[in-house]
Order: sequence, then C-alpha cells, then structure tokens
Amino acid sequence: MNPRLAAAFVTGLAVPMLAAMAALPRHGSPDQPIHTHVAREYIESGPETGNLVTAILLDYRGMDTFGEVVVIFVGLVAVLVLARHREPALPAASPSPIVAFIVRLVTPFIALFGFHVILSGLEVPGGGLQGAAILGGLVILNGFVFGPQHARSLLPGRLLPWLQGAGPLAFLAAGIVGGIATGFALGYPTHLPLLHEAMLMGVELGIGIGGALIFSRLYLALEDA
Amino acid sequence: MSELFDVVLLTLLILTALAVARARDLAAAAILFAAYSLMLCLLWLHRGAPDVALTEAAVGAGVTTLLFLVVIARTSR
Repeated sequence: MNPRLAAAFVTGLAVPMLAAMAALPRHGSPDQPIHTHVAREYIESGPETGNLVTAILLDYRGMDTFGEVVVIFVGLVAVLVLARHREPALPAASPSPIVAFIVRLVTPFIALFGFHVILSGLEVPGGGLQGAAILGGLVILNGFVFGPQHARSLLPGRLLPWLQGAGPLAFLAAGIVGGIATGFALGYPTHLPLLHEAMLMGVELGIGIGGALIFSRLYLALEDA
Repeated sequence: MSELFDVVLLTLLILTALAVARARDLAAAAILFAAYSLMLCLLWLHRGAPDVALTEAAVGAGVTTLLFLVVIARTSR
C-alpha cells in the first residue's frame, strides 16, 4: 500500500476515535452507565467476601464461561485431528548448564504458584485460566529447554485423555449437581455453603488442570508437526 | 503522580510496540513483545484490573512468548 495513503487512512480513522474518547466519562467516575445499572446491583447483592470477577465468571454468566471452556477444548481437538504424531527427528539440543540449572530450580516453585493461583481465584485475583497458563507455560518452558520428550514425560499418562477435557467435564458436573440442588442448570446452592465451595473449587480445578494440559498438548503438536 | 505513572507506562508501551514492529531479528521481536505485555500488565494493574493483569502476564508474556520462540527455533535456526 502507498505509505501516504496509509497515513491518510490512519489519520482519518484516528480523528473520530479520539473525538469519541473525549466524550467518554472520566475513568472511575461513579455516575457512568456501567456503574449505575447491573454492576451496582451485583456488588450489593453478590457474595460478601471473595473475588467478584470469579463470582461473575462462574455464576452470573456461568453459561458463557462454560461455552468458552468448550471452545478451547474443541480447539485442541481440532489441532489433534490435524496433527499427526511423529517422533522428533532432531535430538534435543543440550542446554547450557546455567539455563538447565535455573529451569530445574524454578520449576517446582512455578508449579506451586500455578496451583495457588487456580485455588485462590475464589478469594483474590486469579483463577483457572490464569493458573492454566502458568502451568502450561511451565511445561512448554521445560520442553523448550530439555526437549519435547521431557515435556511429554511431565504429563500424566493414562488419565491424559480425561484430564484434557477436565474443564468442560467439571463444568458439566457442577451444572448437574447445581441443577439437582437448586432446580436451575448451573445454579449454585448458596444455602449449602460447603457444597457451593466444593463446586466452585471443582470448576476452577477443572479449568486449571484441563487448560494447562490443553496448552501443553498444543505445544507438543507444534513440536511434532 | 498517578497520572504521571500512566503516562510513563503508556509511552513505554508505544515505544515497545514500535520496537517490535521495527525489529529485524524475530527472536528479538518476540522478547520485545513480552516486554510489551509486561508493560500492559502493569497498566492493567494500575487501572484497577488485577485479574486482567494476571491473565496478561501469564498468557501474553508467558505462553505466547514461549510459543513464538518454539516456532522460531523450529523454523529458522
């Protein structure tokens, strides 16, 4: 494309965008529309303690999150259908001793932090997807440094097909249990605090572990391609 | 003071974005993109969205960068 034409196009696009930005309410002002309708209602009648973001993701719009979890799982299935397993022809390059030592040193701490992020997501910022990215990134890091065979050895063996689908499966189980307890699909029984907590934990763990394995398998499919 | 912090972060964000676009070496671009993600993560945190900041750090700076590096290692080097 002609650079002058491109510059004119971008400028023409920027002017209405900047004009629209000037009309936005100030950041954090309490009388802007998003703070006066649903959000206020939700903060006032939502959970007393805990992470409001998690409450909205798993309860208020739980069906949307269920759909997202299924989409990520279907993405992995599509990749696995297209990618054929092939033993890597190249042996893993031997990493420098410093890199190998550091990665071996930090691996258990990152793993612990990943599980902490998954499980503490109910109370503080965090949750299944973030923990999944941390754990999946850890597997990819190990594979990048020590070779894909090592990364594959970190994954569970026989349970892998089931654990990959842990996100949708845990969500489905929570939906059925909630349906029996409250009469609504994906309803959360607030009158049974222990069951409520267990359901939220189960869904977070399912998304976290399933998501981590999906990230890892996507990486391994890339290495085998 | 708070506004100044935002301005500094946004400036660094734009500079890293330009650096990614101008980098000749693909690996350097991937690393610069991780720096961009970390800058954006700090910005989210400062704007009061710690959940989004955590996602940005884990997905944007962590997994995406690693996948870029794996692809670069598998294709060009």
